[in-house]
Amino acid sequence: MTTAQRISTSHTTDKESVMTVSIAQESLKHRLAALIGEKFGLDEAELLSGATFDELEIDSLILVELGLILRKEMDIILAEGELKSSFTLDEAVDVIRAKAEQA
Amino acid sequence: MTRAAVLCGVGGALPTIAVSNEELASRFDTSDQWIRTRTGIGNRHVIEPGRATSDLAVEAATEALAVAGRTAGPAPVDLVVLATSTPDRPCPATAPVVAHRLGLGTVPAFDVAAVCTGFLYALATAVSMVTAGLADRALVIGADTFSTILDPADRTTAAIFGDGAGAVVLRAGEADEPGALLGFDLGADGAGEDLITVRAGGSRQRASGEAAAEGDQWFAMQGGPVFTEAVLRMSESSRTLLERLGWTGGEPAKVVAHQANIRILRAVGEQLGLDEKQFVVNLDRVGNTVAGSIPLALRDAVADGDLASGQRVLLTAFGGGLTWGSAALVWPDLGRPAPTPPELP
Repeated sequence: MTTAQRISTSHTTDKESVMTVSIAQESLKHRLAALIGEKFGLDEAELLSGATFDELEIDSLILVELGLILRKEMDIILAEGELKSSFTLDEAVDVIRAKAEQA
Repeated sequence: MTRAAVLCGVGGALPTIAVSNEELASRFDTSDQWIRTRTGIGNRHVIEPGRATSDLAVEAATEALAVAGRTAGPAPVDLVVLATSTPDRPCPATAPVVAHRLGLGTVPAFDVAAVCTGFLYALATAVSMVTAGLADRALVIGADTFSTILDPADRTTAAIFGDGAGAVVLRAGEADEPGALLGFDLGADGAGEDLITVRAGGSRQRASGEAAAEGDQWFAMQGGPVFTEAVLRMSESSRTLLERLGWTGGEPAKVVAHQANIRILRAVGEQLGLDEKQFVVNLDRVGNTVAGSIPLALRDAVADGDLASGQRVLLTAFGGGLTWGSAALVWPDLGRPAPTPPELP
């Protein structure tokens, strides 16, 4: 099961599912950090530190490449410019999670 | 016996003026490291004042015809197809004057325009004509001089594009011979016409009665969406053709993809599950030479021994239009063109 599917199936309204979503959020964040770390040779701890992509020297070209990786690995299709270099990892996770829920 | 078009010669040509990253860094706010890490390009060539696309086409064709003569024996060329988006003149096509200057008499000659996919479209056209019996030996050229349409103030396109030409020769042969073109996958999507374009200078602007808007006479490209489309279209087209041919499980041995950007080639490899080593690369020396890109890469790969006879080879390209395509062949035993010179300092 992909993270996207896990999130969308856990998207109900009771208390338990709120917790599931927040766990999924954490897991998506770590998965994303691991993916970016592996594909672009960046330090996962730095990615998780709350710094923006700009501050981590992740430029618009890397974000385009990340979009392709997300499409392949998680079936998440982002429009041009949806991931911004001014984002932190948390902000990117919010955008990606919203996409996964739409799917 | 099935009639087929068999590749029997490759050639290429570059202008003598080389432009290094350091030289670009002296003109623009950029650096060798910035250009190399984002594109993989270290050097490109620019057409000399007074020369044009046809001059490069003639040079590339001359080398390809010499290789074909050594490989397949002499035979008259009876078709010339030239892919270009920077013809010598808006009208007529450039192929007839190229054929004339090559001394090919009055053989049919015409241009094909599909920007960076132009060579594969021209190749598919020539292969079809040879297979149908309309020609027995065809010259297929890709040639562009994008330096003539680049915005002088744009550091990005100045770094990416270079001028150059490549050519192949096809002869009529059998489908089971090495060198026979085994299949094509071609596609286009005009919904993306704005992504890679020169807005002014065509009938749309001329018939408007308005002068061209500032900057519209220059080539413009939307980097982000072009990167994504290039990777997805080349990957999908390659996958379609490879599956049709049954070339799965790590095949082909070599991929000669349009030399757009090293990071696009890596991303295509990632999508297809192919190793970077399977990709032929000459963009570090020549940049993106548009229609010249694939045949020039083939020529350099043969000259440098990167392509060996018997290897399964996939060609794939993406360009303005939008257009994309792939072709496949088993590499034939060719006479070698001269080795490529090392990267200029």
